[in-house]
Amino acid sequence: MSFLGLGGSPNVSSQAKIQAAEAELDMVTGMFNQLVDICHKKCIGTSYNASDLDKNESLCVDRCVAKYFDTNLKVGDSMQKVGQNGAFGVNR
Amino acid sequence: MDALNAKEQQEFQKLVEQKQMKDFMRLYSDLVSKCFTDCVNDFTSNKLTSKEEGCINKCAEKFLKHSERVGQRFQEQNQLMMQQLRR
Amino acid sequence: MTKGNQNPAFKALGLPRLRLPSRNWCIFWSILGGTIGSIVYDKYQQKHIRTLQMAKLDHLSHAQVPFNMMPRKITVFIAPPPSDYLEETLRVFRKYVKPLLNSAGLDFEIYTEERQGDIRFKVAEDIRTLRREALNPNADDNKSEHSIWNKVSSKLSKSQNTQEDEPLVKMSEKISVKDIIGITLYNKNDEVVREDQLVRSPEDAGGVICIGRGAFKEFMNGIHEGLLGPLEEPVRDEPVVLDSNELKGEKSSIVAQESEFINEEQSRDTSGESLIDPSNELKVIPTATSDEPTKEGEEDDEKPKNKGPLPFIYPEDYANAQLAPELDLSRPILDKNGVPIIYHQPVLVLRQFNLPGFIRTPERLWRFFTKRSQAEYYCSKTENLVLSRKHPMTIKDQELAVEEERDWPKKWVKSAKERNSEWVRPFEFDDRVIRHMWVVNDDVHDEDTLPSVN
Repeated sequence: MSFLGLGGSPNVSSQAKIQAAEAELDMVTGMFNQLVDICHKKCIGTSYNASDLDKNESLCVDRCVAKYFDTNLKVGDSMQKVGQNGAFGVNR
Repeated sequence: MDALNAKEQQEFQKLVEQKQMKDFMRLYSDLVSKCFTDCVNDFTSNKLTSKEEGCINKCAEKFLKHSERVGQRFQEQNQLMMQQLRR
Repeated sequence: MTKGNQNPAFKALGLPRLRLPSRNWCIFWSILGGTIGSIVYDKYQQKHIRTLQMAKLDHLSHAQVPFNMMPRKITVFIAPPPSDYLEETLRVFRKYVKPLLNSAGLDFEIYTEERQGDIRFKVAEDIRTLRREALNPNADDNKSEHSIWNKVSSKLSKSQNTQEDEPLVKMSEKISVKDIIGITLYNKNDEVVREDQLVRSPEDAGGVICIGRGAFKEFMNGIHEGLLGPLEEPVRDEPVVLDSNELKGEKSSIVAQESEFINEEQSRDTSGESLIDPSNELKVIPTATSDEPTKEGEEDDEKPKNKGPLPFIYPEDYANAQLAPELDLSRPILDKNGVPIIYHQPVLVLRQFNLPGFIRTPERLWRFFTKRSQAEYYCSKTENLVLSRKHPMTIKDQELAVEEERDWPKKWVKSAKERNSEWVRPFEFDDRVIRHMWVVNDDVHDEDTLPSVN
């Protein structure tokens, strides 16, 4: 997975390249929006007493994002492993 | 690493701008629905009460600040990940 | 109550006679009840103390901060107790220190070690990196990376796009996440501000917690090593000695491995440093070649790997060494984020109450049933750190948490001395180094007796 690494084999038509890049852009925005949503649910209280985040919420958001990325990587890794072992019946 | 020539670049730049605008619109509609569900619970009149209004203001501001913070961290983490991938 | 002596009223009501069970049952129940009761009471008290402290600090975490503000950050160094597992110390951290830091709204970063020397190396290496950067500020890590990538990409483009002469641009260098996500349309300002950047004097920033006397020793040794030691790893062994080892051939596999290890270290050296004096090298030899028993009893093959990094300088040479000529110590040293480095941050040393050994069972039992005093100890000290009650470091602070050394098992100390472990080596401060350091007060009233210098 490469975020904005804009990976992809060279030697493809410009149309395909742009399409691949667009897919990646969609992935980034999608992930970001999910992140905003999830971390808001997990960290920000619904009683809106103040318009600023407090220290607790700020730290919670920071850790939420970091952990989300970690989870992302871990899940990616285990997916790869499963794929290699052919547990989905792909390699068999 | 994908390399693009000048024409592709232009096309891509346009695409990026479109995406960003779209994302901003989506953020806005998210914000509205979020603050509406959290703040507006009284349907005995068709005007927003002053309490609801205050809540919505704070909610909106807080949500935007929250998104900005997430955006900052997102960028940092993304950079970190790219560095790890390069190694 | 004797037999047959029952209240006639109860008897008339048909209530059974009340009497104590037999003597043995009484003893059994009272001991069991007493034990369980004291454990429960102790647990309740621990929780109570912690809850009180957390409530005391809770208001700090509800302070409003701008969205781009990173709260104060504490650095935590955790070393395992002698001949025990790191988990023991981590539990102390999780149980008493972490809840307080969280309720005070502080960020923290933990550094642990499984082998001696890791903490010292980390602390020293951070300072050395700063010194190297100060030496040649132009050398940028990113630059070299970039150049490699440019080379690769230019190669790629050459091989694949020979027919087109249009300049190719990698999009990943032109756009970042910031350009895609919508929120940046709302606010372009993406500057990150750290609370530790904004402090008036450097000792108000952050904080360092060393859990365990050993962690403190390594931390201080690391500071000294970073500031007083040479920039590059000194040559450990004289080539003559190496040759003789090689001549011995396969006589002893361990020695051969050790010399290989030394070879590696030497090859890592880019230049023979002139800063190091020969006496230093001589002293290193026994450490480098002695058969080192590892704490966890790992296999022999891993011995060279398992050995912690060796110090670049020893306490005996502190007095002769020059104090980091690359750095201007008259001003606070800042890292790349503008935060004063941990050298300036107040240090809190927490002792451990881990007591191994069968003979000391009574004391262990006593400690087990009075863990509330430990809770009190950890909580009040952490509170001092959170509220920045501190004083400048003096030579006297060598003794911080020294009581813990009494608990170290004799056998372990003996074997540690044999392998020249830095936990049992003479522990020294250099006046020039500690002049800029701060220590968190031992108790609340320290502040009155020791007015701050600034």
